[in-house]
Amino acid sequence: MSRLSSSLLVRALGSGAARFHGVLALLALGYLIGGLAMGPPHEAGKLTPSFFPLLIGVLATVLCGLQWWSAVRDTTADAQAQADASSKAVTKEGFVPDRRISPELTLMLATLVYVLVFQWLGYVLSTLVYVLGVMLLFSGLDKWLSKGAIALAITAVGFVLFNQIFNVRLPTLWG
Amino acid sequence: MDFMTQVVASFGLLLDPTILFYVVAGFLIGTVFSAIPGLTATLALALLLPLTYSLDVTTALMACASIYMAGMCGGSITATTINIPGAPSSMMTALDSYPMQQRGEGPLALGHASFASMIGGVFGAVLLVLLAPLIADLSLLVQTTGKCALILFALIVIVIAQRGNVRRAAIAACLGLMLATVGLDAMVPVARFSFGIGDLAAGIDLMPVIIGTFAISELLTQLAENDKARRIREQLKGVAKIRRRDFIPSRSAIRRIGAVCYLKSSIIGYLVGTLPGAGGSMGGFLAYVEAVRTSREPYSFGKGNPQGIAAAESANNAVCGGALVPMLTFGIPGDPITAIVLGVLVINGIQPGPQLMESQAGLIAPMLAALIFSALILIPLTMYLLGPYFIRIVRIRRDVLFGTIAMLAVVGCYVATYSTFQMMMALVMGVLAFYLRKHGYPVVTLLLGFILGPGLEEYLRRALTLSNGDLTVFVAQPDSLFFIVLTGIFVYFLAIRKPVQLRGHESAT
Repeated sequence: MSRLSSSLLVRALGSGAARFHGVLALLALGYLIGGLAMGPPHEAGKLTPSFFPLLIGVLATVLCGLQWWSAVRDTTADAQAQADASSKAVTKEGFVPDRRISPELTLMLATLVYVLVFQWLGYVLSTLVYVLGVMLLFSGLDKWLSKGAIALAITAVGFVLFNQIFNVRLPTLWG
Repeated sequence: MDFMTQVVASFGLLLDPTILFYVVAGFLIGTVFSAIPGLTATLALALLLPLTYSLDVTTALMACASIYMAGMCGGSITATTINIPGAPSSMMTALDSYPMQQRGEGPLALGHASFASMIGGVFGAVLLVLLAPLIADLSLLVQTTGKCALILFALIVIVIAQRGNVRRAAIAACLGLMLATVGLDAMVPVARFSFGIGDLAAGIDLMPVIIGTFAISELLTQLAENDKARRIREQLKGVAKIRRRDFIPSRSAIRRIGAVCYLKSSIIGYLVGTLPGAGGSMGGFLAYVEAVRTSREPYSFGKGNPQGIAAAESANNAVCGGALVPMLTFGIPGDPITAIVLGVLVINGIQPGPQLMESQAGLIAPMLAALIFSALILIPLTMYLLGPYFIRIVRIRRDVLFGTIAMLAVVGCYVATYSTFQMMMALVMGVLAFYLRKHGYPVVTLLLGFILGPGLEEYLRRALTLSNGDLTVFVAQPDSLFFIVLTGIFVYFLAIRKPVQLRGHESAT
């Protein structure tokens, strides 16, 4: 029984919600430690720059900690209910985790690469590839040629809008 | 020249073709964005923000005002045609407009929504013009402790307005406050949380926070909900063709709804708008409840009663006028749109607050003129001229739409500073906001925490320094005591003793 509850707790700690709330709690704690490292909140009768971060840091750490704990508790209860349900219909097939990269993560990575190469490749080339990438993520790989033409048109519209109408100097491949 | 005369004179600016173009284009973009389920006028404004660097500030503010007004009424299009509100503010509209659509009276429902939006929008904007200077005069009486208590009041009300989600809202607000402390301290020249990165020493810019929170996170969210959106597009294909002449409601139908209903709903919307965090959906809900309560035929609501549409739509458009009151008079935005409008002011070096109405009346008056113009002219005109094509516009290809949004969002960040660092910041903020939204955190409180943070810190430190750390100064000063008591009242009624209507609203949302 205790092995079951400890395995449920491990599953709960590893769940998406608990992990996210845990990361937030760690961020808040890190912020609080950063505030403490700045020195005392009160010195020579004056409030120092660390005063406000310490105040917010304590509040954020407490709230995030509570949220994390409540997520762990909720997930444990859910896992318990699932375990009870599945114990009645045990199959030999194990759980197969989905190892594909989610489209959201792909878009995040695509945007990161776009930002990194924007200055280097210039606006036209990097934007064309990025817009085409976003379009393919939203509508699949079919008709990629016509999508390429639309991406080119969007890039051109952006260029006219920023460069010609709003006089913004966009980076080019040749500096 | 008094403020009202300046507003009237500002209508002349609309004769300038460039300004008129931006106001009309803003309105159309706002309508399309709020009509597409999932997209909002906030996103449209976030995308416009980088362009304000190159635009004249008066033109930018006028375009913002028209987007805001359009955002409140555009949601009724899909609320009526497929029972999915394009914007949260049209949630209550769908209750009666969709049954009308099922009876074959969809265009008439849209006509009623448009007429009520016009009345509510004009009423809210005129009330704003009349009352804002008076409130601005009163706000001059608020001193340092009062300002601190006021910002705290705004933050607390915004957090508790996220009913059923208060802890998450508080955490998001704390995250916003934490981000606001990055960079040089306002009172002592010490860099905080900059980790030796030169770009961070100057602090985090408002623009990447807005673009990241509302544009990039929206892209990621929409991608995650791609299948759902595809189903909505399929539903839209089945909507019958709309004829222009069917839009116009008859005089007798308007008389049956009654001037009292329009007026009362507009007042409710305006008052709700002045509260931080309440927004158009709350205004529409309360006005709808009031219309049902006072109706002789309460059982007819929810079955296609035009009075329900009129109440909800006049209230949500009156919210626009109300929501600008705290932003213009105290520099405190109550919702994301007013936060972005505040961003436009800040980007142009204008500090919102009690002095704004006096020192920058020449900038604010045209914005209010554009608000009235959008409500009075653009709402009915757009509905009449473009109404038959709305469904086709809303069915725009998602890959084209989001490809364009992605380009505008990311390149827009570069435009402001010619620095890829801002683009990176927007991406970081977008990823953070996406995961926050995914786990049920309201990102609006993050943005408002970020915007209100520096003011809160400054006034708190000043107040405590002046009183030698004595906290009783907050209850000793009448202005701060007023806001503390007000905070207590709001906490009691919104968080401790929830009214019956709010409980109903929670279960509905």
